[in-house]
Amino acid sequence: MSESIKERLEPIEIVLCALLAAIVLITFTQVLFRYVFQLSLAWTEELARFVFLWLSSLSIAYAFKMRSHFRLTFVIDRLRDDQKRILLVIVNVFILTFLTVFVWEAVEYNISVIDQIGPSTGLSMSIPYSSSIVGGLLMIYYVIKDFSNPIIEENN
Amino acid sequence: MGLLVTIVLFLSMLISVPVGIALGLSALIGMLYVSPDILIMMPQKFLYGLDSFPLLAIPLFVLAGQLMSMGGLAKRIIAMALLFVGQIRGGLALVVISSAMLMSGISGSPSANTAAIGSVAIPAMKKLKYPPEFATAVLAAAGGVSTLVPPAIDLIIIGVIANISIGGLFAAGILPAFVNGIAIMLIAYYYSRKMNLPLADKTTSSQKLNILREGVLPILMILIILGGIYGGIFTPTEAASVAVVYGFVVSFFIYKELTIEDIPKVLLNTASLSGVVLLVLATASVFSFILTFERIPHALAQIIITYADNWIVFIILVHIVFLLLGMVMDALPAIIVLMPIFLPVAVSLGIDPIHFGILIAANVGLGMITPPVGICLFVACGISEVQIGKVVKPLIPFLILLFVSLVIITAFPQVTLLLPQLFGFI
Repeated sequence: MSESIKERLEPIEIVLCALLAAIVLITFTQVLFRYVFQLSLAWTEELARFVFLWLSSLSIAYAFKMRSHFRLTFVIDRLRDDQKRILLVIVNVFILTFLTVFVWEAVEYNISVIDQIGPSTGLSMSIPYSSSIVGGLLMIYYVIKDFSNPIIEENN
Repeated sequence: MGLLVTIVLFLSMLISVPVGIALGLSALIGMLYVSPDILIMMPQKFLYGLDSFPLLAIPLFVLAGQLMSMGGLAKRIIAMALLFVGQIRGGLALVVISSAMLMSGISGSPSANTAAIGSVAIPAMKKLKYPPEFATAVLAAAGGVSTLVPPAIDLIIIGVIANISIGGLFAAGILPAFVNGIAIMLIAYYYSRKMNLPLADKTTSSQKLNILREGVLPILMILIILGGIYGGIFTPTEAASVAVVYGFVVSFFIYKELTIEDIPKVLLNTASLSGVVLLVLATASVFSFILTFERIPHALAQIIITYADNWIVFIILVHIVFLLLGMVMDALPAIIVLMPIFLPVAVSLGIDPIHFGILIAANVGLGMITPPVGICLFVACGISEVQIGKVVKPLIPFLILLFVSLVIITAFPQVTLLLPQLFGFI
């Protein structure tokens, strides 16, 4: 990758690209080994699922950044601008309430699974599951950032 | 409790809380109501909703679709479709439909396909002076049909949630999708004749040969994916990764239309598109948990069985529920929450699970183009810059047709079950 692209990408974007590429590589390796080398790998499926959990949490957060999450806008579209602004503050408070409780519980959950081991990779389950904490925190970050300039956008 | 959770869900969706968060928030309220001790189930069920190998197919197929549209494969499919039906009156409309169906054979995301095809086809139709409302309606309708075309994301999710063979669902979708596709083409053709739309430019025979040659690689991609899944060579997820590698090799090394600069863009588009689906998947699984914890699905199933004691009444009820929900919201949460409730009842009334899954997918497809909230309709209107209200009139014949087809598919399970039986999934 050339320098100019690297500069334009934010850290979360680089990580997302890497995770997606990793999933493609792992699942493709699985097919390749089975048909070309006649070998069924045991760890690929579990590893791919772990990477996928990280990809999921981070891409959900990323969709918050891109404001692409699916919302119903037929009510808010009919409001005046000042009413819209008030409603959006309420909406963001709702979102943050959920996310805060979610991250809190995710921390507790991760502590409880630290000793659990993935059967075929031997990795601690908190390695894939801690994605929920990191993803949740990033979601909070992007929603709070949204507070400063709430723009109402059309669906998708 | 069930009522409280439902009210919170709909109220928060109404004030434009993202659907995925609304599901999580109402589940949170439900959990607090039952006991704060079970709050820890929230992250657990959230992760559980995502932790499944078949679901990996979602970002992978979306990525394959993105590679196709950025890397010039989609363009070549459209060119080829134009070659076959371009000289018919309203040919461009037929091109939109046929290429949307072909594209769906790779990316599985109706809304992403609508965007990919629309951004090429809408300007072309405008140039030929097609009425923009009609062009938009055709584009949206093509998207609605593609929920049945394998590897549709909705079929993958139905398979994962209800534990039905995804390969079987893919096989079952083909025939109804094909019939629907032909039928909406006939409607588009009828209206094109009526409006006397102009013909596309003629191509010379050397151009034709060139287009055909160029179309070989994209078509081969579809054959590899579907052939690989039906032939039992790879799982849908593996097929998706093969599709990504194939799409990348073709567009980067052979066509050289995908540049290094495009790669992060393609990957990030994929992440953002997948993130939207994945949030709903994850929180709907939390929402489902709190309902199940309170034994609400069981109670609902009991009520349904009391009133709908034969399969016809039951299936009509299911269709009405999904159609109503599909009109006002995204269908995904409805699938995740309601499938586990409805499927056991369906099976006990003698409906084949694969057939039932296809009925839901067909219903969801209809919901995608029904105003006021239809995702394909939104995307199509966004590209053509036509107001949704104006598209409704040209859209009505398509809606009626898809509704009739839904009734026919429902009444004749043979239409869906023939191919899965042939491929040995049942």
